[in-house]
Amino acid sequence: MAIIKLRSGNQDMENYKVEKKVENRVPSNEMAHLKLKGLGNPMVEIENLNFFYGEKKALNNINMIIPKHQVTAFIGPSGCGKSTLLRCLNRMNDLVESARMEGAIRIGGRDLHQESENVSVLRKRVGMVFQKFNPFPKTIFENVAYGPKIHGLKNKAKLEEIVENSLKSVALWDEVKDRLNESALALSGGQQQRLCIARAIAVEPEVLLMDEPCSALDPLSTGKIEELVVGLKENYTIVIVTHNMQQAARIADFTGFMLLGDLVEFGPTDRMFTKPNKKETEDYITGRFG
Amino acid sequence: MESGSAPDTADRSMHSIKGLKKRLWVDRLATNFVTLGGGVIILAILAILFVIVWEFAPLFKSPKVVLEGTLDTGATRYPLAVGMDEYREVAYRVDGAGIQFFSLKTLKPLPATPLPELFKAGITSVSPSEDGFIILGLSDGRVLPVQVKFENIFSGDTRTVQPKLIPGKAVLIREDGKPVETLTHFKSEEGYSIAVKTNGHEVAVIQVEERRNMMGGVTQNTSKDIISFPVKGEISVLVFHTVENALMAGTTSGQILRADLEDRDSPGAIRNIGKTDRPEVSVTSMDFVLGDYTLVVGDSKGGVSTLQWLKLKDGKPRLHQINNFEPHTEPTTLFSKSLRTKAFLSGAENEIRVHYSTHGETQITLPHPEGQKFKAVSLSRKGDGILAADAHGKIYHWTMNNPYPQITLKSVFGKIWYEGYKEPEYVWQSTGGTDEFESKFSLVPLIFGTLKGTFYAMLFAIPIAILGAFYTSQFMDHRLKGIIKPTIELMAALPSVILGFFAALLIAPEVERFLPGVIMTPFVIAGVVLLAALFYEISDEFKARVKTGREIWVLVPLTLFGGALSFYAGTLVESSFLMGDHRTWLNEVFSVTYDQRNALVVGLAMGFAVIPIIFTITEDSLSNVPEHLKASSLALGATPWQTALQVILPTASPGIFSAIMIGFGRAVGETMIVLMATGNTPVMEWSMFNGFRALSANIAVELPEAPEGGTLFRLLFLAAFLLFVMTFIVNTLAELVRLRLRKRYRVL
Repeated sequence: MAIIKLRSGNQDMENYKVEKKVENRVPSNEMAHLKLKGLGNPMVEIENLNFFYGEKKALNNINMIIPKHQVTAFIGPSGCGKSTLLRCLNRMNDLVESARMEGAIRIGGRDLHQESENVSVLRKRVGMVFQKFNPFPKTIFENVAYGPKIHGLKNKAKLEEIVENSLKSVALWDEVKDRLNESALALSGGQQQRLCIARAIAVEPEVLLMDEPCSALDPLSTGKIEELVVGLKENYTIVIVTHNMQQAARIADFTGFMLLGDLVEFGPTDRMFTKPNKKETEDYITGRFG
Repeated sequence: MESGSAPDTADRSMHSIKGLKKRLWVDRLATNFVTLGGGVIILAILAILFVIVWEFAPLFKSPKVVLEGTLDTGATRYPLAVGMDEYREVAYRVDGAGIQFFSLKTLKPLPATPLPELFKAGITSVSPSEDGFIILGLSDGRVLPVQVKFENIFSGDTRTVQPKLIPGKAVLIREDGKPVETLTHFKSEEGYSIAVKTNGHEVAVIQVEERRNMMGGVTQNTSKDIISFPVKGEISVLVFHTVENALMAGTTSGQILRADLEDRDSPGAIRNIGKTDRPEVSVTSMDFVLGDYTLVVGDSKGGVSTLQWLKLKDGKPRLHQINNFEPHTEPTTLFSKSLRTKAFLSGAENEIRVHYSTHGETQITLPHPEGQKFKAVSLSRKGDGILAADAHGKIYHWTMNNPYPQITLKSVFGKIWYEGYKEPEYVWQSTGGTDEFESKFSLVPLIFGTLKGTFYAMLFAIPIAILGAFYTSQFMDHRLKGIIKPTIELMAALPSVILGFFAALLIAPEVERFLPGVIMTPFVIAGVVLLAALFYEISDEFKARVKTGREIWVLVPLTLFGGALSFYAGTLVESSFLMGDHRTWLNEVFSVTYDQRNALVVGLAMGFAVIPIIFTITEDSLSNVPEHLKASSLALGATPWQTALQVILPTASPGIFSAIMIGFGRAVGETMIVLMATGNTPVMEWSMFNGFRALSANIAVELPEAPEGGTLFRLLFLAAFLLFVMTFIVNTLAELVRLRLRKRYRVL
């Protein structure tokens, strides 16, 4: 439905561009308001974030708070900057040569861009699961053990324990426990994606970023992953980017709607999908564009 | 569907089917064309391989022997010797009554040629010779030299062979008038010597010097000596060792005794030199093969072995056993040698065999066709025919086709104890300075050379190319990489002849001058770079100034500085630790000689040729590792270095392996650089200061000296085949390993 509407949606986006200067951001006072509303402990705080690819501005003055041990989803049409925002959180954008960032991001109270902040340590704290499942061409065991190993863990028994626990928490253990030493590439797509999640949580991150983790999966595997995400929030703060609004509705506690680099609206998922404050949000959710 | 629109629809669908047919046809054509092209290429390669095999295969063909004719002479006396002319048209047979010629074409006797010099004596023994100068031992104690001469008379296009006997002056040796039974002789330019056994342990030696005066007449000067041997048993055979001017005697008790004719009075001039351990065996035949170096000894048990008179470690010359041949079942009494090769013939009464002394293989065995007894044999001058006379007056004539007697698998790939060598060795020496020179055709030193050159080239190229590619693909600034990579690829376009030329004329002398510096360079540069890295870690200011990906601007000057430093340090080291001259030092401390054109220089030059290939393929395979693998490793908190080492490198390993193998293949086949920068000495030394000769360079070097169809010509094809096989094996291995690795590190 959304795809069919895409063409007219572009038209709407053009219209939107014109009016976006008028009113298009979550103001700081609302942020304070969010804090006050007791969204639990804020895990990630983003303040006045601007992001540029060369001359092109990709994120425009983003302010938000991502609460701890909740699932937060970013939705929005293609190119709205939701993946870029996600990648700001573990500084994966550093890999892009011309990228530049302004503003502040604090995770667990620590600024990502402090001089002393080691990107390697940061990424251990903020794990990531990619859109395209990408296990290493190694064995299942080696894939999961990779993270702990590079962070210096050598104890074999401890590694085995971590691998088992990680695979158990993604419900993959029973399926692969007899073939841990086989290539991870022999697994099915859904299994590979769960393996990637296991690999990410093996280093015990505080935040888990997921960049459209189900977009390459069949509905059955998608269901499993969604179930998993809901289960994982007990231990991790999860930020997920999705194309699929139903998915956001199903699993997210909070949802942020982004459009052309702006965070249009951010709030509890229930309210966002039932009573959106902004017209753009409503248009998007009801499928008028995007 | 409405009827009105029907024709239009039909037309359109017709059109589209037509188009489809055409497209399918083009598709099929293209498929067939590509298939054909591939097939033609494979066929062409197979055809080349076939031609190569076709050219060298005759080397290993087993010899062919054909019984050309049987001649019944009707003579009743035992033959004492037989012989034939160069073209195997006329044969002669010596028995007690005289010498009789036969035509080998018509198998009929030729008119008798009487020997008036015999007077009334009979012939009791003959010292035969393949060159026709024979000595007859007579029943009255005299010896009579006879030149059996074959004159070629041409009338028009036809050639007829006219045999002639030119008797020399008979000499009375046994003054007691008893028949001469055991004798030997040798002929030189100044005359000839004859040795005759006068009793069980004494030998009379006569030297006849012939001087041609200006009028064309011949004056003879005869001297006679008696040599007494300390014999157990009796002297059974005699032979002159011409190159050492000695006389050797075999005895019935298995001894071989030697009398130095030059210095007869010195102690030990006459002594026992071998085979005393088998007193029950009698020496029944003894002679030298061509070149008078290798002695063939046959004994009463049928044994045939070759020995050489050699000075080994203690400096005392001795007879050394070289090869043992399969023994005859009856005493070995017959011998004849080729005058072209080291082939010789040994025979017992029931069979004759043709052997090759150099590699020690028996090539032909001929039993008597009618089960009778052979009494005299002769190998033709060219070694292409055998003549054998039996006890019943019959003469058998065989044609032997063995154009490459010297080449066997053993002589090409095995260790051979060549004449004058102290031990069996692998030697390649296709041409020599003297007429007696025997070509030595072991391909092992050349295979060794190829591997050695490749080894040093790879030793130099692999670390530089792979580490360079690693840095370029993983850490270097993208803009810089865009310049560096094509530049290095351009290096591959440099003709190897230029590299070889540079290596030989510029690098070689400079390396020789600054050898200690050259050797130290990698270590000094590594040290300097490590120091800089340490400084980088300590100094934050330095760290801030050098951006990741731009380290090269610091590293290049550092490397140059390190190189210069090591050259400077090298001269210091040389003057203070290496006695001022590294060549002398190397020679004295490691007894290593330094050749100016050596494996080190080749390693540098050939490494330079191989680096671009390895670099490019490695860089490509590293860069082609999917970005998402790198990203997921980095997202787990791995550093770029950890990511590169643990994710990128294993994933790219099939490509890197291919790169190394392709570089290896290139180095194996490389010709010009090794040809120009090695000195081409086929020695087998791993030392990097010695030269070598590679298979490929050998083909280039020897090609002008190899007449078509000759042994060398065919051997060069064999060398080409080996190169082919080597590259084939390397490539096949590489492909197999690569496929396995790729399966393991397959990426979706």
